[in-house]
Amino acid sequence: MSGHHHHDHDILRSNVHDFKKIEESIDRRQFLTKTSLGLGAVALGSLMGADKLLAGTAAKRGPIKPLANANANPISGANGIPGLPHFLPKAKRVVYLFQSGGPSQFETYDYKPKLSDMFGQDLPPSVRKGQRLTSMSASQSSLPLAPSKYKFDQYGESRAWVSELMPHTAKMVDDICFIKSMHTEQINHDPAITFFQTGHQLAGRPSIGAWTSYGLGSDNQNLPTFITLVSKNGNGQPLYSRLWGNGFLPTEHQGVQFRSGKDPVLFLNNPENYDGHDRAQMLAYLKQMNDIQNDTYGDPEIKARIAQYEMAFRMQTSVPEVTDMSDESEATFEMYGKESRDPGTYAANCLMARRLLEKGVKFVQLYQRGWDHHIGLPGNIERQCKMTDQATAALLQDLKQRGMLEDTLVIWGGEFGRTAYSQGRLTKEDYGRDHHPRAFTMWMAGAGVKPGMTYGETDDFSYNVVKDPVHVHDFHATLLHLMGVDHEKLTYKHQGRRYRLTDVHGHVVKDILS
Amino acid sequence: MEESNIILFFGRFHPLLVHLPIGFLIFAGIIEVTERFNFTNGLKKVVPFSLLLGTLSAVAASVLGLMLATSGDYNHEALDDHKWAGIATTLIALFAYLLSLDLSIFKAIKEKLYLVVVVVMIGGLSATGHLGGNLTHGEDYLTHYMPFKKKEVDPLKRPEVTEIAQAQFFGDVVHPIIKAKCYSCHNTSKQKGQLSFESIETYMKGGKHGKTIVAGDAAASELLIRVNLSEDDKLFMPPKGKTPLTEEEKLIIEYWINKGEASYDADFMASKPNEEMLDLVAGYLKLSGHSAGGDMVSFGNIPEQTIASLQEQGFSIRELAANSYAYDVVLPTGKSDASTIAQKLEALKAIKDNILWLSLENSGLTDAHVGQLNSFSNLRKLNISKNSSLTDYGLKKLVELKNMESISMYATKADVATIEALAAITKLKNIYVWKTNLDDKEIATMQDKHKQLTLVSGI
Repeated sequence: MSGHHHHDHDILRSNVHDFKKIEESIDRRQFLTKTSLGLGAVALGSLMGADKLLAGTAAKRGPIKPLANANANPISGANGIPGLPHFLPKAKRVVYLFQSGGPSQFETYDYKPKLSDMFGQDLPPSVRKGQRLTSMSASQSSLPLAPSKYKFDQYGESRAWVSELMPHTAKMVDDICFIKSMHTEQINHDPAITFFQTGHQLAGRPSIGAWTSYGLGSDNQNLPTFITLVSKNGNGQPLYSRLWGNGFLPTEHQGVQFRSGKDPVLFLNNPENYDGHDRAQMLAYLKQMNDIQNDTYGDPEIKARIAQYEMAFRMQTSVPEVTDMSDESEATFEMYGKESRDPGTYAANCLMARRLLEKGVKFVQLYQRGWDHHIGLPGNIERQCKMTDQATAALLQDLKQRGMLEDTLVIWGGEFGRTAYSQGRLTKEDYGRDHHPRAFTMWMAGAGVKPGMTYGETDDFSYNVVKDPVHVHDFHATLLHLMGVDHEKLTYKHQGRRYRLTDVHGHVVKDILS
Repeated sequence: MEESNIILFFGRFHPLLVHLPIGFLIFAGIIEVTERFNFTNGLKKVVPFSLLLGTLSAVAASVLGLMLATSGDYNHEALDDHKWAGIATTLIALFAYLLSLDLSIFKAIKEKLYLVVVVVMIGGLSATGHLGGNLTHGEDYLTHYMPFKKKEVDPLKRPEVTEIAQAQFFGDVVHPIIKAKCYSCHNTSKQKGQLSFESIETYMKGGKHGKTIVAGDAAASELLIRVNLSEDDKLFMPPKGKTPLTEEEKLIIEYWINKGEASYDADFMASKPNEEMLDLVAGYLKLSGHSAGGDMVSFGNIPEQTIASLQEQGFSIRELAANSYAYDVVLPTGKSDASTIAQKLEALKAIKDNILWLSLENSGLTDAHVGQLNSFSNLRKLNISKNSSLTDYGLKKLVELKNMESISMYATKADVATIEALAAITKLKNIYVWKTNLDDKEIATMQDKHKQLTLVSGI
């Protein structure tokens, strides 16, 4: 790499063009020039008075503006990237109630009466078509069909089928669009959730919320654009922060997780013996220094750091305001269920989600774990539904009565469905269901989605989609479309190519758009 | 990497160097005039030197010009004219120089000829310069902004399309794209790469590489290959500094070549376009009903400063779609006194025709303020919830807003009369009436009476 006539230290030089530029800007001469001038300025500053140690730089950059001005953000910057939205949006906000673990469609929304007649019979090979099973049920000597233990009925003007486990959601069916024909490519939790949340089964891509934050920016500069709430009253498969991560997008677009306890964000209060009177000034100064650093290195993480310091500062006032539930009425807590008084529960998080959406948070990602019912499904799913049904319906109702359902998209669903056959022993009262990626149900409601609709169909075994299949990529494309974004045009160049949430796939499901 | 070409490298200095002979020779001409009319005195002895410099630089410019001509990027005929005019002017300049020297062999003819030669030289110089300019900038460069000129006739110009069924794929869709993005370098007078998009014949002929457009095979068509290269590629078209084709434009041209068989007279619909392509082309032709945005009406331009100053007053303003000048405006909640609100709403009138969604929730709005909203004629969605002092007296003034589709007025004092009044807005679909003066029975009655409306209450 280095020629013979070069000095030895050249061997340390990079051959990469970008690095060369950086090295050039910090090579010996540059270093001496910069530091000597810098030291000179510092020395001069000290001569002029110790309290003005950095007077030279400050003067060059103008007076320190109070931090509040960072709020008065013009059209650019925090308002997303230029050229977006691509068209008039229907949804201004999204709340995604992620039911982690893979809720069974059989006991919730996909009514399969024929299974009752076929109790215990083997799943016909003509239905399975040689599909791979997980190692948990692949070695079973038979695949006995398990009908739902729970009764179904039709509700609302739309006559949608809902099981008796979801009595509250059943009252809201005329506001809901059920998609019975979801299908995914992943059969295990980690890749399936990662696929649903980031559009790719391997970790490393930005999550849906990060993409919307990057593309569309913030509606409230005082709160993060993308907030994650993980319910404390669910167990089972773990969740990891990369599911709401920014991937390769700038760091400030990652989801900010609120803790599931009384204090959703820690360390917001000022430390003892400090009243915070000059914090704004301190942060403004810190920003100046970071800006200097940014001018030299151009590392986007510096910008992200600046943005996050400032966000944290504003959250000192905005978060206590939004998390203080004392202004909610008795009736509201009653509607969400008694658990809504216990911070961090699913019900409390649903209420919190509404409060955040009201304040202009663009994307609230809520997670409820505990839907992975391989064995003992009936009892478990009953508990799980009790824990979530009322609050889910209440959130819909609450958004609706406040006029917010019109421009808020509500999504309910897990990472895959479950099998028609029982995993393990089957009795009338007890059975289990294994993971099933080929068909499952999720629903959307609100902004731009046709209310009171059921889209797509599965066969008698809810094993294969027979009409209007909707792939995970299609779901992503539709979600972005509702926010005014063409999923093919929201891209980010990383490692030499442009990436999208839907990669090279995805079709907007136009039939469910109102 | 393209090979280096020393001839062309120097040749490209021609446009730079030509200005030297122009300067020197015209300078000589000017002195001849000013000396003759006694505007100046004693400058005449400079003339021979100026003519000599002019002649020498003209020779150099000619040589460079001949080198540049080897690129083959120029229209042959126009190039010929310029070339011979240039050579002739150089020779005339040389002759003028020799005459100016007072040599004894020219003694007999100098008196009669010298002035004529100088005039011819200046004339030749102007002609050559003009022809050269036409070569570089295009024939209409000089006259483009000329007042009172005759309308130019584009042989490929077509009448405006109002329906997609009328659109000719090439003439109405493909050619306008090429005309906008490629034509400035590929036309009759400036044929970079010997390629011109002037007429159907030149389209079919293609450029230096041939196969510019291969019907049915976009992958083999040089036109598409070049526009689809990486922007860093040397062969990428259009070159650096010009506007590249958009993805949509590339898709359209690709579709024309593949599915439209690169036909120059077939209709767009004859290519049996799929819905995506239909949307693309309809969008490109700006035909309504097919663009993604659907029912967007057009809005007047709003200067960025206007938005910025409103933001400074506390409004949160988002453009609903990029470059639409249609806005979603939110006044963050928090009670202010009546006069402050009145002032803010007055300021907001600067963009009143551009606001589609407006939220004044929980802002301390009173009946007196509602009248201020009357002129916000394009409002589709209004949120004035949680302004508890709003009564029917103020609320029914909203009936002026004819484009309104949704009004949220929960937790106000709206009553039956409010609904009766607002039902006159024909486009109105939803009214949110939770926690108002309407009780459940009244809501049911009103819902029954005004079936086009949905009255949303709560628990």
